[in-house]
Amino acid sequence: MIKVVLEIFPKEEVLDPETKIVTKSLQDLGFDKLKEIKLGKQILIYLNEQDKEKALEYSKQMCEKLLVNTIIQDYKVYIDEEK
Amino acid sequence: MRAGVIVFPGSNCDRDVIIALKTISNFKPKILWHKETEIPNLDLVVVPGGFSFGDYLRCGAIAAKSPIINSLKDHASRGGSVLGICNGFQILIETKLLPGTLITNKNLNFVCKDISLITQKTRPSPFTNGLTPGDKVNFPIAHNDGNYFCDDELTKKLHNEGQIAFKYSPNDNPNGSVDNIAGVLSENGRILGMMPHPERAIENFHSSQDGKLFFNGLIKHLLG
Amino acid sequence: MRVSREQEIALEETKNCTLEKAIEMGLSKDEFELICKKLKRTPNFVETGIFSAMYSEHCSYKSTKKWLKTLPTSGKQVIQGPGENAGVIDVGDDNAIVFKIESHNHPSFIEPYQGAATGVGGILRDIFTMGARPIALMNVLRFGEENNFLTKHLLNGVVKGIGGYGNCIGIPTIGGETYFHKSYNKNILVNAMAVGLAKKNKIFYSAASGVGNPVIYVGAKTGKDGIHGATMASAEFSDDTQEKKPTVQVGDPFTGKLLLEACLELMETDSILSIQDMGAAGLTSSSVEMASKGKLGIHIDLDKIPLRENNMSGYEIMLSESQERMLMILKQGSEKKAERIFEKWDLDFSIIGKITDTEKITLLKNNKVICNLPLNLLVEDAPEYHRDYKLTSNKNQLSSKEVAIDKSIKDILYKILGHVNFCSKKWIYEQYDSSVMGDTILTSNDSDASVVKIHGTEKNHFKGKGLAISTDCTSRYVKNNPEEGTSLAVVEAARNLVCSGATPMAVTNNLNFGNPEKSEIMGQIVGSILGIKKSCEFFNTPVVSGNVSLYNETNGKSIMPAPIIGMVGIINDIEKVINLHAKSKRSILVLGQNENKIDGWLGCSFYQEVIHDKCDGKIPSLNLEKEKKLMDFLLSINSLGLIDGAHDVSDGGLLPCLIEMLLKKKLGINVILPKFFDDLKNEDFYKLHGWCFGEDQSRILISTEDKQKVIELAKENEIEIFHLGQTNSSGEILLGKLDRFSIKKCYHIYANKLPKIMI
Repeated sequence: MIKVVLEIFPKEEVLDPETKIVTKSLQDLGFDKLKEIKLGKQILIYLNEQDKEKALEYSKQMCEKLLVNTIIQDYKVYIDEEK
Repeated sequence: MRAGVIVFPGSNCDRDVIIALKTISNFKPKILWHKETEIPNLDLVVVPGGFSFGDYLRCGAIAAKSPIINSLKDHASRGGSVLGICNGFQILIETKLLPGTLITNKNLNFVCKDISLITQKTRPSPFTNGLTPGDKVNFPIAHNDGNYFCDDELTKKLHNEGQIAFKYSPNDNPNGSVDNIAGVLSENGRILGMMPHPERAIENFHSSQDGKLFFNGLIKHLLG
Repeated sequence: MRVSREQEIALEETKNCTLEKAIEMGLSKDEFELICKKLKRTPNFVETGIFSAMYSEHCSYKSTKKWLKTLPTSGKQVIQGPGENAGVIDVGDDNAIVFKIESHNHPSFIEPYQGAATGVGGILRDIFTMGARPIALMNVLRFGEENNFLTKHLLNGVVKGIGGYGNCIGIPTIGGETYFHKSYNKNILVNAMAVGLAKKNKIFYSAASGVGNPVIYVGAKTGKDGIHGATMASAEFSDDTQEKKPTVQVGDPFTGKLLLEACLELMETDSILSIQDMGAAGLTSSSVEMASKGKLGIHIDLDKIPLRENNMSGYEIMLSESQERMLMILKQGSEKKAERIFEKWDLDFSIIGKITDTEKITLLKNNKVICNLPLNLLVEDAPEYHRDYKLTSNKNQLSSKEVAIDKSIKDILYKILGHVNFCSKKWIYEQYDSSVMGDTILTSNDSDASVVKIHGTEKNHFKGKGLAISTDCTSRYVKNNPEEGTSLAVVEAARNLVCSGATPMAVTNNLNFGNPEKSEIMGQIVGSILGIKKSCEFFNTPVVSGNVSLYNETNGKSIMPAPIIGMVGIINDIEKVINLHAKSKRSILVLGQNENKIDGWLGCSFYQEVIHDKCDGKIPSLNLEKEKKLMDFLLSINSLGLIDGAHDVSDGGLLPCLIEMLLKKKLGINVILPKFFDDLKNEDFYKLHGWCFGEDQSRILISTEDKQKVIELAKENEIEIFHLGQTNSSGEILLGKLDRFSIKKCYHIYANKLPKIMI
């Protein structure tokens, strides 16, 4: 089995109101070194697969088909080597 | 009666609850802006519904860090009454003034409808003053994250201490709340958080007028 | 020496535009050549972008302007007709109602949640720009077939988006309609209507005034949202070769709420001279329209615009459709006061330019003029097309014998109740907050029109006035006869208002059609406008605002035409409001038909759509005089307190509409049939189908405690009337001796259809 990590974030050029408001709230609380935070989502994918390349490709297909809204979100997938 | 209504950026039921309180008590509540650091001497502070700070991060989480919250806690520790409705309930949970937590509705959808609540037998509280345990009251609900969640131990405690003010009917639990819990009291009974909107059940043209019953009892108690 | 990217952009932007690029931006060859001729030079890239936006169908109404001008737009009640952000009518007590409907069709197909959300946000800004607090939202949705794989995804996203914006900003969504048809499979419609309440003497307009006055930008920052990717091709400006798709506009209802409160707060002071929201074509159309309406000029320094990302070109800044932004002209000296209010609400505030007397728009970037255009060339001289059109109407009248099929009434009824275009839309409307603001009286699930109290009209024992809103369009009628069908849509909207106890006042419309360059489609558009004109003139309900959405086509196939009518009316006493649910032990009467009617109009009916999956034939005929008499009668008996429920007979005909009245309280009724049906011969079965499901117009079902009085008054007023029977609590519906069924079964079919699809 291979464990694939999927990270989803709003695209850079797309407005992300949540990031905007949460960043400002932290700054208001005195965290003045904070430039920006990014809120995203992590999804763990466990695959019955031995080949890492194939596992990544397979995961990408799931991203494009369902997991990611590619119109407003970017994503990256990588293998969790610890597993 | 001296009442105040806190307004956060994104509050949207502030006007409704101000009108409801004024209609019933004839006293106009004071508007408290979230950046204020002192709450004057009041009998009741209402944390109204809405989407404070857009509900970003977690519902109520950012509002719970607003400047006014410290003085709200002072007001509560002085024994003042606090009513949190909908987003107000979520904020009181995030400030830890009330126990448990509220998560996303079980079916993942926002839900707006009229709902029947069963009044519970509670510890002495201004909020259940005008209501008889076992009676049904009808209020509208309108929320996305009203699924009350707590562990068995806390549920037991809430029951034993009479801290549950309202429950949904077992066959009409709209959000998946543990034990059908719709409204929760603090240990001293002076803080109530509830998902349903009593301020939307006042006028003859509203689908129910049970909100009058609720506020009348509350005001009567506060005017003592 | 390496030039910076900014310099590079500036250099490119001020180069003369080529015909090829102009066409990419959406201008036609003729349009571009005419621009060059009138300007006596070739416009640069930025300028061409501005031309292309202003000459777009959306901004210029170039295909429809000629016809829209013929609509009735004035009347005693009209304060502001078309041409402003929204229409305004006088409703007494110094109150004004501000309303408009607008489409967000294409963006909602690309990204349903954000498309629908920004559609709601956009229409709300149109309302509060005028100085009104929004008090109600409605929406009209059109999706593809229920079993199309995209439909579920789109419906779910659109509903979540509408709720996501409306619920958060705290304006109740109180009604609308949803319709499914295969012609919308790849081109859904999302039309949102908003209504606001203002003080009559505190309406704000967009025409700029006062040379030298500051131009202010407020709200959210500007990003690259919604800029068309095909323009200013990336190769010239961008290091990366990745294809640039237009960036989806993202709605931020939280910022929208702050902007609403900040604007209304500033409007309380005496600082704003004019104000306009930045909607389609963003800063371009708002600045051009404000200056042009004021017959003045405008100068903007683009370096003063609050930006979300660096390195935005002038073109991008001017064409960005970032949400939650406003442009204002302030009185000189009130800048500080305004800035404090926007600071309080955590919104950007920037003085970006000033009003000039040049009648030109000039834009500065990096201290260099990158645009200098005469406004008349952008507005008055915008193209106006006289497109060819072919008016059509289906004259083939189908008899009920030709349409009816030999099935029991029960079977047909169940099919209708369980059809996606008839069934309960609870799955949708429960996701909208309909009770926030505390003024909602009836949603469109409880009455033919949605009703809110006009806030503040109550006084001592008087409970207040109500505002009723209805949205309507029966597309199958419009398709078969654009003029009569659209005239009928206006009539149905008016009838729905009357059935809630309201007097119709005025109209907004959203004309959704295919490609106007085809003469049949242009014929649909022209016919529709003629139909609106006819009915609106007759009922004295002028058109005060509207929107046009064209080119709704996929692979050359047009959508079913959808000229949506949004109508508002006034209820003088909210205690006289009517809902559609019958009570037990009441007489149900149908107004507009009598015992001699023993058949009905099944051509182009909902029956035909459900049973035969098509809609053709001559549409039901309409007599406006008869309709008006019926409406007046209903309002008069309502004012006497004689009715406690009313429902117009529309989609599905008499029987399904009767069932709708019984559903909420699960009532039964013994339906009295006309004597003719006592011994119905088998070969005459179609007549019963016609009677039960025909869609003859100008009929209303009412529920009353005083049958005799109503019948007496109807006879006096020469209104046809027929007693259908008395409601009871048995839950059994008997159709004479011919058929019987239970209301519980009806409810089950009606309620479970949509949830089943959406699982």
